[in-house]
Amino acid sequence: MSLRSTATRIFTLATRAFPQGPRHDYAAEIIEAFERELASQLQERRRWRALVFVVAASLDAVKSGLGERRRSRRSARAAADAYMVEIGGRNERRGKGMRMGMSWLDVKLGFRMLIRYPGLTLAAGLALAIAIGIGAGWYDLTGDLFRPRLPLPGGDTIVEVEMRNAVSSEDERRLLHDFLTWRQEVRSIEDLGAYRTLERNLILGDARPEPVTAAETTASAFRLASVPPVLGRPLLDSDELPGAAPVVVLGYSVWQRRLGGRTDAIGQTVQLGRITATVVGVMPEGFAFPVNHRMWMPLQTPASGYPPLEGVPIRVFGRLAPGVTQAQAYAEVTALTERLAAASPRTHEHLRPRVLAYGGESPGDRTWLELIIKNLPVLLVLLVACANVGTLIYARTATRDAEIGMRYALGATRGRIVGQLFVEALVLASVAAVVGLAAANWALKWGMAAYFSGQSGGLPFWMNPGLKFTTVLYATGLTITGAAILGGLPALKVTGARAQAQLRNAGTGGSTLKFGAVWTTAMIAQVALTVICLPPAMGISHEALRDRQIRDRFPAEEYLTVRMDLDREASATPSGEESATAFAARREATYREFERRIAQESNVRAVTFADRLPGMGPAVRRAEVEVSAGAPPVSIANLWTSAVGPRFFEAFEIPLVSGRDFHDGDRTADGRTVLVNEAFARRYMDGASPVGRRVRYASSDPAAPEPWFEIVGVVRDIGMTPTDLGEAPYVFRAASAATTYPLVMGVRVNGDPATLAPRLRAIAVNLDPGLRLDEVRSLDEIVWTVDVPMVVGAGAIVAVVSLGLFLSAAGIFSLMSVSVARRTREIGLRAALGASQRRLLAGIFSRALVLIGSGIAAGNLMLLLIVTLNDEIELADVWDALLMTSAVMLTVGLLACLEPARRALRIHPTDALKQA
Amino acid sequence: MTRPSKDPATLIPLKHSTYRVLLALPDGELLHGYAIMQAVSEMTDGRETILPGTLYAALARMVDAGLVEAEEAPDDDKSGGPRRRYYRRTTFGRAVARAESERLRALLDIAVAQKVISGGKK
Repeated sequence: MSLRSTATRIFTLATRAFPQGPRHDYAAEIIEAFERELASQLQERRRWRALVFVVAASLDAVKSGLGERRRSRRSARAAADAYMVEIGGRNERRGKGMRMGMSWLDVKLGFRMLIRYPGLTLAAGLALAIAIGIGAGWYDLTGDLFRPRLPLPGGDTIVEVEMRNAVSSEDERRLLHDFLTWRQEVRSIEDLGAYRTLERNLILGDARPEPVTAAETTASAFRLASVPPVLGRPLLDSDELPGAAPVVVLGYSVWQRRLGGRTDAIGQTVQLGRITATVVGVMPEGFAFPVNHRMWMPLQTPASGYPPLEGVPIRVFGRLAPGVTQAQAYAEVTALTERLAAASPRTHEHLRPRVLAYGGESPGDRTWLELIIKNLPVLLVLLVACANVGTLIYARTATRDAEIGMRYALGATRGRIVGQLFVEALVLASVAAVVGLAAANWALKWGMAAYFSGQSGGLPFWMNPGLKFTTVLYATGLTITGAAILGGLPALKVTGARAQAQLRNAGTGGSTLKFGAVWTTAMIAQVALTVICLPPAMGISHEALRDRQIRDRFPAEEYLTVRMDLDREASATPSGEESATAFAARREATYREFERRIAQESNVRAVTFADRLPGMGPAVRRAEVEVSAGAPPVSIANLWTSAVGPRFFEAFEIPLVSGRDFHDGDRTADGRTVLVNEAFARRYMDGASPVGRRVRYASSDPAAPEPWFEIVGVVRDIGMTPTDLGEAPYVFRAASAATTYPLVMGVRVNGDPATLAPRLRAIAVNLDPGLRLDEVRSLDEIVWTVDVPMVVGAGAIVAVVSLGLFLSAAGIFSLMSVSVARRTREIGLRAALGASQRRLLAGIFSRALVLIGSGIAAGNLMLLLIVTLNDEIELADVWDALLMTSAVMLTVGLLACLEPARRALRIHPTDALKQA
Repeated sequence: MTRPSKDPATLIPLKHSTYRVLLALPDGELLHGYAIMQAVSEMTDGRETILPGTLYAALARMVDAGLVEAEEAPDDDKSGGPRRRYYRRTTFGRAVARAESERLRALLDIAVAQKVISGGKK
């Protein structure tokens, strides 16, 4: 072989460094140029120079060739992107690339994916929307719970000082004595003030009286809030002095509504129940400090002070002094309380102070507990949703390996592909987040309105119904985290080193990616979780439906209900109010007269009262009953109780079954008689008559047991408190209007009860300006309000479990689809070799059956474990539910296999062989 | 393929090989690859050469960028061997060569002003 031909071969080999395209175009020319130059060198007999030329030209060809390869790869990427734009439906120029291998093109593709896989979009989107919605709602609620943001200057330094009885775990509000001491001595809290909430009838001339939520407060509330009035002045310290002329500051809405926004309102007198007060100021719109108050009157305290734990119940607030932390303020108040406890152990021995963020529950600077309660449930819900949705996304990613392989071939990096899949998941999660946030926003507004509708004054001033900006930011974080789990993790797996090699060979037949152990385990867990959740969901929805049906039978629409109360008279007692005995007597007399006047109305059929009417929320107590003479009493965990007024059973048409009805003697302080319902007799007396037996409430102090009550009669079940064992067991006590709190009247009318409401108000104001009527509503409306959380809760549980069932089915469907796609060639070849359809299906679906079976078995085992650990549930009770749940899950799982099975059986051997 | 740029400034500064090829192609003349190699050597009195790998990599880029255009061999080509392509500098290629030359002249002026080299014509 001559030097010339050897040199040419070496150089030709070097030119292979050029990519295929340029090599095809230029190889002949480039080699010709090389040969001609070499020939020229050799012709001049410059052999060494020729040798140097060969080496230099060969190295240069390799270097230039590699450079061309880089350039070619860049061009290929640009071409691939252009192609993706084209299949994306628009031939737009590619936007400026985002960092970390993402581009706006990926966002467009993400939206296309939502449309291309509608089933997955619906299932995964719904699961994510629920997770993000619950997460954002919880975060928002706990934010208000722990540390609400007060819309006042320096709101984060405002605190509430509370006192709690360590033995009874109840708040002690009779704090006037302590408050006066704190106000004099505490240095770490400034502008220390106190208030109590009152309802007062605001009466202006002949206009309809309106009950207004008022605060009887120290003037420091206005200094602390730092909000100037729009008219007149706020309350002053001098207004608090005993004997000062009664004054009132009105809220903006009251001023607008009742005084027409007149600027000459200052100096006018208004009637507040039985008191006449002068208007001295009007506060701006939205001002409702301390909570949701619309009117402010001075809290007058006698110069002589109060004995410990005497006087009206109050709440204490103040502002942390500059540089003082909540913990330091707590330490100072605690030291002071210990001193008070030493001086007055009888009253203060068990009292412990708390200094809390105003309106919240935060006991100090941010604690781990607070963080965990706020975030952990949210993250758990998100994780469960991601595990569910992750299986679906992974399955979709696995079916796209050909596309991913093509992108690799076109020069896409791993980061670029991971970025694309992340952005696709982010688009899905973002759409879900918008839906979830909208739902959470609506639910919070609706829930807060419903919750606070039953409370006078409505929402606290710091609560804005709906999501806060910080919550939206938090939800954005959740969305990105969710997308990283859903898109990022499967993407990293499918683009892993091992998978890359497989991907490059994609297209040679079937899918190459496996549904790995992690995702299989996640799916088994999902099936198991669905199995566990199905029985309670079915039970709760059945219970809700049953309760609604039972309650619907009662003619609640014929009753008007109204809460009644009376202002106390001012007097010279230590509390500044009339004595309890005098007030009780006046309350009784006022009620009797009110009842008499109502009964005279033409459309009224009956009037009665109780502390709660049938269908209202229950009052449940622990009790014990004497089943037979001489035998030890039987303990009752849940006994429904109600204190009822005269003619209660007549008004609600509850017939007496045995014994006698109450008489006036039963309503005295010494009255020790009760009536029970038939459910009570059935459940505890074993067929014997309960009349003559005794019942008493359980006492927290064994040394001071509650008194026994004799059962004097049995009444028929009303049918308004259904339980799993039939009507709830009830004990009725005889009540007097003097001492019943709350006093809820029930008026049975002919026709629409709403028409009677204005008449009731007119009668009340004529009878006594201090007689307040609140929550005037039909009983039907109240029953619905009580039932709504139950109906909504049951609906939500059923929806979530149905979604779980759907996701399980979708997961199994995905698993089987991937499995069929991977084994196309194998199935085709086996079919060609004569395998029967039954054998083919058995081979493919054995894995699905194992998965469904494992999930059902795991779920049932967990259920059995719960039953074993819980004494109140019998195995026999859940056996039916267990079988039914397993059948439902198995049916759903097998249905999910139908479509992949159809696909598998339609694979033709020739198609499979073409792919081989 | 890269779209030919209409603004010469976008391609400045040029790669050394590209500039040399542009200068080696006189206006309107068609040269094949080996002739360009020789032209580069001749115009620099043999001080600079361009190797075939670099040359064809540069030509491929220049065709893409619209600096030169390729034509099949004219019928009267008597060179023998495989059928080769001829290259001609385009008007745009000329504009780019001028822009690069002006850039280099500006640098040269600085060198002269700083007396790094003398200002007289060599």
